Amino acid sequence: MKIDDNVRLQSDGNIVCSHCGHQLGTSVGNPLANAIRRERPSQDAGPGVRAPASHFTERPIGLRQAFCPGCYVLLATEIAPTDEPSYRHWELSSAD
Amino acid sequence: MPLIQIAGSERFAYQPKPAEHTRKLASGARLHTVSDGDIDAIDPLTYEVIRHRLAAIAGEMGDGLKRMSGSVVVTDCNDFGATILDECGDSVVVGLYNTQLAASVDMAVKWTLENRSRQAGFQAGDMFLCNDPWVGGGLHQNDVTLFAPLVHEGEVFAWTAVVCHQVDLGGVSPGSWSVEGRDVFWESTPIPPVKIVEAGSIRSDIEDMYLRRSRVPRLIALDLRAKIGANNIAQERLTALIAKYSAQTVKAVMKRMMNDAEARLRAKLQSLPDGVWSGVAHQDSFRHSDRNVYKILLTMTKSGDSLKFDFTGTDKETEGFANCTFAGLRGGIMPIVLTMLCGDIPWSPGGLYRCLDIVSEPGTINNCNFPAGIGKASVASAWATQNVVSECVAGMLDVHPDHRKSLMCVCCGTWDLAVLAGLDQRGNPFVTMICDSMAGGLGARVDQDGVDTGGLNCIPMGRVADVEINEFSFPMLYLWRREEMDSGGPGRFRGGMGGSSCFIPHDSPIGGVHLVVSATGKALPQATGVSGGYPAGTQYDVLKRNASIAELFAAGRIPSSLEEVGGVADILEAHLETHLGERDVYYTHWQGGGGYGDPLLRDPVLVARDVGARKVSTRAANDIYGVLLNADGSTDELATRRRRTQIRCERVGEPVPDQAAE
Repeated sequence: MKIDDNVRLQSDGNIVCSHCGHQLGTSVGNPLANAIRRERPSQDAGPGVRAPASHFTERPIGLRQAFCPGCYVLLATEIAPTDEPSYRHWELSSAD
Repeated sequence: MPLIQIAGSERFAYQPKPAEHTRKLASGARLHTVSDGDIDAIDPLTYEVIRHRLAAIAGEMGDGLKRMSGSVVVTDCNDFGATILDECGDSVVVGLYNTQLAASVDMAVKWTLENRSRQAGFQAGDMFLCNDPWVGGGLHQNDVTLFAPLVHEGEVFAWTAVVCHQVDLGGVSPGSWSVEGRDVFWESTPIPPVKIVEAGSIRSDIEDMYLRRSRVPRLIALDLRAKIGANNIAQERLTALIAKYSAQTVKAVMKRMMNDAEARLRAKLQSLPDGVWSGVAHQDSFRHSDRNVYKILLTMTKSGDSLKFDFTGTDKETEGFANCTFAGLRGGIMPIVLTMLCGDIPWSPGGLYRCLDIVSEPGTINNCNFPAGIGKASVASAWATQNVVSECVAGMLDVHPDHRKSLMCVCCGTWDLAVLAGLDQRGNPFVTMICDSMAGGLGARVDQDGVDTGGLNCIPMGRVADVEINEFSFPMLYLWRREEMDSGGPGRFRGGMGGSSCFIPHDSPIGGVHLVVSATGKALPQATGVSGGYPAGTQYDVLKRNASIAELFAAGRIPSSLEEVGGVADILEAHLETHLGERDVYYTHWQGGGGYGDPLLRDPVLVARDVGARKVSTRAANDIYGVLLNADGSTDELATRRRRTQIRCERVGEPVPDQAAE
């Protein structure tokens, strides 16, 4: 089953990268367990991020991304306060 | 003073109830109804004819409102909603205007049925006014709803309702956007449902009470009459429909519309795999000088044929003007349900809500208690709710081979507010909200870019006023209004671009104008991407004092950049009230839509095209998309391939392979 542009759920329950077939996770409860995660300054997201976050808040704001360990394709992106966990998850009830 | 819930306010903290409960609680009113047998007996042809007639009537209500209103916000920007509801206050059909508004009117009607059925009662020709977001009907006090029972043979047959944004209803700041407000008492006082039209005549005592609070009472009075007119149109058309087909038949169609909408949404949900999608929506700042960041959490569970929206973990209500009530929370859900899940399903919220379960703790920023400040609710916490709902629904749809084509990444992360007030070029007092951010960037899809400055998904028919209309109506002169490079979220499919406006005060007899600015998304973007796609760019507002516009004009030049404008730049915080002097320039840049997929997977030819069209900068093409261009603007394929390999390795800290042999 295609989950999104980059992720596929196999009938054996494994979650794999659509582009290289690398296993991203073995459980629908934690589908991107094997993904490589990186954090950078928010302005690394490109020139669309106009003024530095520090101009508006003391909270640390960063660019968080997750990548496939096999082909390094980008699986997830968010710009969020880095003093809080990522709240973006998905979880299928079964591999059916 | 800290937010302390006001004793006695519980009565107005409304939670909508199913029809059978409303019917019992409205025991003082005679409500028309039909049996299940009547609903089943409707033949398909009659059903389709009447169903489409009801949708057309909702459209006519909007047309009527636009013709009669004197507010550019209504006449040119379509910031209003129109709804037809059944006798119990369930929405049968909503127009294609502001669906945030139309999706919350049911609460006000149900509250009125429960609390006004004995006194003031419901007679033919009555209309109720409400702008209390705890009761419902609108999301903040500027959303003034006028709704009317359609009385047929002594029974309440249905309700008609229109709601539109009123440009000023008092409060500390012009436009009723009290940027320094701490609670609702800094804002326009909410009005629970009051019978303002009785037996076809406006009650002058109630109207005076309503208009007295506004800085522009004549305009508000005109809009009141526009809303009366729109309700009259609907009531006349519905009465004619009943005369032609019978009350029983029309009502049976209304009930079946909601049943069909429910059944079809349930069938669609059933076709999707069960699962949980969680997301977050951030807002930076709740009032002037506030530098905190707030979050709305959502855990959306799809199980069988229903959806549960659980907002547990959302931040507690906060001093400021950016909280929203439960009506705002619902107003954040329904526009996404309509546009992403119901593109092929009749827009009958009364049926659709039956598929949805909402869990939310009172006293949080998107379900606040009285007296938390809510003056900006519709475009603050309600909008942020919409963003996180959009993100989670998109994730759910993405797993389905067909339905994924209906998803859209988050659109324009918030409303970019600019209120102008003062004396217009004719010497008359004015207040208005500049609605240019109605041209927000739409989110990317799974197979195409988001529409540049395509609008907002909560107002399908929203539009921006022509520059000339704004200049004609208000003492302002545009230097430009345009799409902004790099504002769309990068991705395999790019988010639609947002835009910017840059203007100066012009021709006011008192020189400049008063300016109220309010827009978040400056510390972090609010239009998120999906499947690795980047969020859109951030909001960016700059005030330039003592600029050189007069000198440039005298030299025959129209500036096209902030650098050319001259003067001293002030990058504005999220919320500010100030004066815009004769030599000052205001620049405001709103957000685009989120991107879909990894930008390194975007077709390099499309990136080159975007650079040529000034939608993407060469810097973003190089840094984010990994695309290098030849001098003629075409793609350098070898250099692009190498650059993309380099970026992929750098992403994860791996050494870049030697590509010289290629």
